[in-house]
Amino acid sequence: MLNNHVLVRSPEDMEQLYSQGYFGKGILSRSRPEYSISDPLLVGKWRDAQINMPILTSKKYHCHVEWAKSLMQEQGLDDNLEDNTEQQVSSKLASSTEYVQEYVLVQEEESSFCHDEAANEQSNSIKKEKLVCRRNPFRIFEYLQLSLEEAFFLVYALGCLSIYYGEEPLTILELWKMFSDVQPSFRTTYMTYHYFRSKGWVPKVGLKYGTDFLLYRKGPPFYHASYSVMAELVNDDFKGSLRRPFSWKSLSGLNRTTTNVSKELILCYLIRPSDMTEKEMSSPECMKRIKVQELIVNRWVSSRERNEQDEL
Amino acid sequence: MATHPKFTEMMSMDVADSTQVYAAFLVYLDLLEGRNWPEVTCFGLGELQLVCLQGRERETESFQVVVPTPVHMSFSHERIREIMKKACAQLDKPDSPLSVILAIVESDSTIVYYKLTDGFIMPDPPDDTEDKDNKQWRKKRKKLFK
Repeated sequence: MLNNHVLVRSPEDMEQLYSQGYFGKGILSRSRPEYSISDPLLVGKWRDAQINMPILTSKKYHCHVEWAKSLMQEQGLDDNLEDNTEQQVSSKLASSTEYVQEYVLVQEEESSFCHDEAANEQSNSIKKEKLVCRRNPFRIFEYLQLSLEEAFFLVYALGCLSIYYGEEPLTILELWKMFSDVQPSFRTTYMTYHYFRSKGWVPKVGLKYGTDFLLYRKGPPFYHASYSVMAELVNDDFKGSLRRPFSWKSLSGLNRTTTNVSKELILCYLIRPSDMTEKEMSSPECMKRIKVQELIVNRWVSSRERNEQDEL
Repeated sequence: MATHPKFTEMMSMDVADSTQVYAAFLVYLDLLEGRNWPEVTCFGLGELQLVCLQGRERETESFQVVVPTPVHMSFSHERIREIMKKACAQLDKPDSPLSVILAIVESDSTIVYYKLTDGFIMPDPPDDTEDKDNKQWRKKRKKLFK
């Protein structure tokens, strides 16, 4: 655990977690970790040359060289770095690490001066672009980042993950408390996650659509999410300090945007008995006494309904 | 990634807590590597305890300020105004309207960007919503008659 986020670094573990349940997200990708240093615009441009190597802009290459220089300075390998050319920097870094060297193509501009006999003052420079093969100066390894709910589920419900803070693996109770400190409504969102996961849905982060979760029937690669879920923790009489109090206007707005992206809005109420103590809530075992009530919200347009009935 | 020089640079600025710094780092990587912005630099807003980014989407565009924030951080109107003022002071463009891009980072590293501008901006013309309604209506009809 780093800076209050849960990261998975080993490529085999990343592959397992994502392919068996779609847990997590690559930090440099939209879902599955599939980062490539290649610039898609350049790849499209040089498509006809049928190259299999990653292609970078010269600016990005320089940026990565700067990163490599800074890293080497921090690691104390900086003798006369300023004088070194990029090739020397990247080969120095290469020899100091165990990483397998990767080669990339950098698109560089070559100005060739064309001397026109008639115009002596002007030297026409024709900018030609060429691809130069260089060592990759700074390998970026993409990690898999798990949301707090996913991470806790893997530890608590499936028992297949250990989360370390420094050298120590954290216990379930420690995680429950730590995650609640980082994310104030963690308990509510976790219980919702746990509930829908146990029913076979794949819940993913709902940030893009303004809710807590999106529910996928099989997983993100297969089809768009069917439901968008907002979770609330209430007591027996459906009262509680709401995380997101709705007015009719705000509910209508959320419903409209949800429908526009072909999803249905679910309000998920986690009902805890009034006699539940704070002490009970400080352990995930409290879930045993919590009931769940789901509410699907749909806009009803009376004229359309009438038309459908007529045609029947 | 903990040893990435940009991350250590942001941490050493010592203006914000590690969660906000990590969020800033993720946004930095997303802009540079995910969206291929040609230029992104970081700066700190000490009194507001934020590490912010400054960059441009293309060589031809002007610089913009991106404010990374973890999802559970709350903002008041005053805070947003303060951020916009300080951020635009950084850009040194006194004539253009105040505007920042808010980058909201979730715990699984999903980032959502929102542009906040002081004043009115003409909205884009809407897609043909009539057509969309009709499509859904036609689908419903098909289902009924199956």
